[in-house]
Amino acid sequence: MPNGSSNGDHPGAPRKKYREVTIEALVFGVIVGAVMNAAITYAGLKIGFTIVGSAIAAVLGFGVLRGILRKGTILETNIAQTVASAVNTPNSGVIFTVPVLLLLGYSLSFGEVNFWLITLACVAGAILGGAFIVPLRKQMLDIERLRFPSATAVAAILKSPGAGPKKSIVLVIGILLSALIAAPAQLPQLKSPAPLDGLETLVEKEQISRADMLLTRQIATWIEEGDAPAELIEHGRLAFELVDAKAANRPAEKEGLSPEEAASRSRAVRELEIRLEDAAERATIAIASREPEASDRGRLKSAGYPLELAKRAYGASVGEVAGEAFAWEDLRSTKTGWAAKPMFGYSDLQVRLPAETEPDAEPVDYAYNGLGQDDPVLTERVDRDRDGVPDLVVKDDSIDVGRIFGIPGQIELIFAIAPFALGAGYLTGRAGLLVLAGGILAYVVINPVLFSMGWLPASVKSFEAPGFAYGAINRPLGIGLLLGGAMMGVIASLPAIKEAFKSIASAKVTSHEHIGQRDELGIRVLIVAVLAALVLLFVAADFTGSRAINTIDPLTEERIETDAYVSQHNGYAIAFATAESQAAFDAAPDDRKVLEVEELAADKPGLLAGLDPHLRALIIAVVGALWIWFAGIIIAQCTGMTDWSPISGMALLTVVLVMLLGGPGGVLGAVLVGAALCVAITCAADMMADLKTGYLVGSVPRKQQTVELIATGIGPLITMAVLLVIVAGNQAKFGIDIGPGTDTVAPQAQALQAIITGVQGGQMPYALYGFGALIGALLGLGAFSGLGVLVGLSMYLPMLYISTYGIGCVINMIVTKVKGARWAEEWGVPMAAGFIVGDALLALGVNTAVLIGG
Amino acid sequence: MKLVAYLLMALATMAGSIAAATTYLVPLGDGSDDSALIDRGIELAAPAGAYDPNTPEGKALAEEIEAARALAEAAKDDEPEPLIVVEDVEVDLPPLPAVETAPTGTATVAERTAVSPIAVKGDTLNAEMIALLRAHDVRFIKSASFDPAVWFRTWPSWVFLLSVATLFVSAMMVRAASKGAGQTSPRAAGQDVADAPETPVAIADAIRETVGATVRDVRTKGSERERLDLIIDNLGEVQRTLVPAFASARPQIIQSMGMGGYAQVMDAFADCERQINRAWSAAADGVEFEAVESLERADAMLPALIERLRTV
Repeated sequence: MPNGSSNGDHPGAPRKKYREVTIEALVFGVIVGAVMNAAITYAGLKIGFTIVGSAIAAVLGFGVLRGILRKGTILETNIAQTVASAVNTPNSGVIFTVPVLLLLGYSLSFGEVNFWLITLACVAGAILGGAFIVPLRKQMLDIERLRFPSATAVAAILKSPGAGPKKSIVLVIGILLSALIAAPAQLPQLKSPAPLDGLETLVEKEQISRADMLLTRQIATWIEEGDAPAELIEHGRLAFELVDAKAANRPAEKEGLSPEEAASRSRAVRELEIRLEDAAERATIAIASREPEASDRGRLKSAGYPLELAKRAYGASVGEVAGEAFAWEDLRSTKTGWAAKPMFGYSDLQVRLPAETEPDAEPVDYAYNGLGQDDPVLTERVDRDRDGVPDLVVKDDSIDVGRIFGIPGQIELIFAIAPFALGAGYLTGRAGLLVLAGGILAYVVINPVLFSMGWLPASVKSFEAPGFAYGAINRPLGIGLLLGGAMMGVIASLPAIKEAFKSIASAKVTSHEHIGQRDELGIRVLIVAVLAALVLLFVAADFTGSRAINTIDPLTEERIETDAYVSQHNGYAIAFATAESQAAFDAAPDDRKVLEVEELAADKPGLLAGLDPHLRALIIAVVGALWIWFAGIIIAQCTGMTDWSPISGMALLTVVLVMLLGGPGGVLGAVLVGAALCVAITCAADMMADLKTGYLVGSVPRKQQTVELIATGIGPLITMAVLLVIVAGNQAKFGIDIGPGTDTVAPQAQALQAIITGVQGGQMPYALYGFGALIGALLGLGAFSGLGVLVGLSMYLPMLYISTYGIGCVINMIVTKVKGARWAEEWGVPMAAGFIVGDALLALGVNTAVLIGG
Repeated sequence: MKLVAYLLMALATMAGSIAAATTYLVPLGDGSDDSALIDRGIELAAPAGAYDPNTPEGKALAEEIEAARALAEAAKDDEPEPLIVVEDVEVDLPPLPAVETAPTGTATVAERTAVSPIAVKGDTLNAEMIALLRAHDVRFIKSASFDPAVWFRTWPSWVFLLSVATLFVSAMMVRAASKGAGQTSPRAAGQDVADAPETPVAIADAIRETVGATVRDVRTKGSERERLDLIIDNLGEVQRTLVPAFASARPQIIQSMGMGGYAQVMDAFADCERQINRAWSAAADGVEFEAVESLERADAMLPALIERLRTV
């Protein structure tokens, strides 16, 4: 027996404990994970940026535990990065889903049941996602041996001290090279107020518009004169007034008021909103009227200006608003519409297509050479945006090779300048070529054929075809392939899964240190997780199933501030603002009721609408639990094979699934259950990636699984707390919770909101999902069960990343052929790992700078 | 056969995906069945048709389109009286001042080359709209809902079914060919393996030899540094060459042991590999006791693994 073999006969070896799970590692992991979670939650809501963060935590852990504390081992650092990513990861599931409720008018605060229910659901989702994936570790890592490129890169970092100085140098070179390549792609996100004398150059480089230049010049004049157009100042005054009016109109502020007083506050808000809209138009006209040339007036009138300009102008005119001091110099900011000068990027190279003019077209005045001077009109082939300047083929983040070689626009051949994709492709090697093949199928075959056959709308131009087809066809078909491929993968792997379960159940012990303990958490964890998932999802579905589905009265369009007036219709609870409104609805005939609730999508019952509400909630819970397991497999497989995770696609399907069962009108329930499932799915994939890293460095899975399951529950608490802080800040500053009109526009949640609206309007491409699933399943029926998943993933992803990833795969094959497999593994892996880590570190740094800089 | 099967699979995937992309397309036909189209109340999910709105013909067409759209709206139920009358907030505002503007160069060129769709997303198909679309050579519109009865009357649906059948046949061919190819060694199959032995048993033997030698040799080394370096070097070599070679022998193992047997072998192999990895990490961290223990555990696991591979 291996665990009994050690007898201390190792020459000169003191029986020294090998540090793995330590207080230092846990504390460090929680702190780093919490900071990353908070920062990335904000960044995700502001600019849509999210990152798993294992690689960053590994680098930091390496520096702190080994460098500063001088006692961290490889396994201890591995535990630290496991904890950090476990605390950080749940944020992506939350920020994809929960802000949708805010966008739809629901409110969240510490004192509300909704907030705690969602938080609890997300915490449980995080733990369940990890627990559900535990029994699949053996199947995916030990048996299928999925590569997990990022996890392999993290392992390369962890192992670098023992791998010898040469490999460490290669890793560092990889990180530096990656940062060097990625810097001109990412640095242009950092922008500063442009100098006045450089505005024309920026216009020529297409980095700002002429309208930006004109507005900037006007702002400069106002700063100099210490005054601004009266209309603009009035706009700012009304904006501040509206924030105050909205604050006074909050339910808590209106407690104890008579219905008339409360109604007058609501009216005051509506009146101010109308006045504000009018003031914005007047100020825009006033600003435009200051330009001598009619075309420049047109430019400024259609471009408008940011609300921040009006607010700062008003602030500067009065000196102080709500305790905050303002000065005219505050207008010199990119937030006010002052032209922004980006840092150096690849677009500064100004690599453009050669000019090609339309011989018969009458010249027009683009104003590039000064107003009143006509220029020849360029062909659409070289000037798609028709602004008189040949288009860039090397942009900050991509190279359009297709355009360089004059390939027809319907064929997309574009490469992302993304070292991480190159590194991930290299680490995947030959198998990754299937992803490239899938991308070629979608972007070089399917889309051009659809265009040529006239199956795309006639108003879609050739160069618009890839973008149109991506949203309308490639993406839904890709999601279908993913589903079918994953289903076939599960069926094909059943013998392996059975063996993995048997192995886990057989209480295998290999660790000498823990005689009598299993190497990994057993089947009991899964059983507890399934039961807990069912109970939690049942409670969530049952609770939300009985809640009103609307926040606005469908008859009066007033905001609902009490749950006193609720009627049942079509299996939904519909709330009303007043007793009169409810009575009018109740008295209406059924066909009229359907018309009134059409906008809430409550005219369409869910598949389970006819069932008892508790039974309906139970079925949703069972289906949800099965979905966590299945979607977790899909995400883990995709991440394992390619490093990309189709989380947004799975979030979409999750919410669609719940809405189909519960009814399209039940958005609160769909988002709440959907949030729990999305968090579970992301945590499942993260757990698997961390276990892969652990496997490569020899960590005991049980230890990793235990710390991950405990730590991951902290993540949603931090994310939800940060969300509340952001909401409170937005309320104070803008008078609204989140979304357009605030600093945190929540791009992913807006995308999900659009999908929810699509489901409610009955416009989901279910047939494409279904037929895609059939193709995906049949692809997986051959020799390689993951084929459907790989091809589906490549159709789901944008071409520019697939092509760069494909280059990485090809480089691996060439290096292997020329230098041999050993060389490719020995030197190529640390270099590729460096590429992944360098890109991630730079992205984090740049996004942090963007956030700090506002 | 495998190459032919993969070629068929690739072609069927292409054809099937292209055909599947037409599921929501509804052919406008020759006019003989317009009433069926209208009765279904088809709502468009994408624009259809295109015209130049700046020509005199385009301007006339725009009016016809508006008329067709108005008829479609009129065909819907009239807006009913509200159930409850709500006082709307009204604000008395002075008229906006006028500002004289002129089009920019970009706007001028965009207007010259503008293309407008005849029908837009959300339009409902009526007789007038069908006539306008057909008059402008529009053969298909994209419907918001899938109607199997319509799609299965179009030729792409048959292409799809044929593709599905071909995919199934080619998948079976690949499976059959894979069974035959299971005996091929990883290197002969073109796998990315380094200079490693040919068969899974030989690879496992080589791993046992290296690990066993390391266990023996580590006792002969005088200093801790030498012992740790020996573990790092020898196990590093196993990690770089023999482990990937064993993993690449998957088809051979599945061929001889089936998927269940392969899973058992890899389960045992993975336990052993993890001990090797742990020994390497401990050695790199300078924790000799753990390194040697893990090494011994790996050494003890290998005979059972090799025995299992040999029994088949």
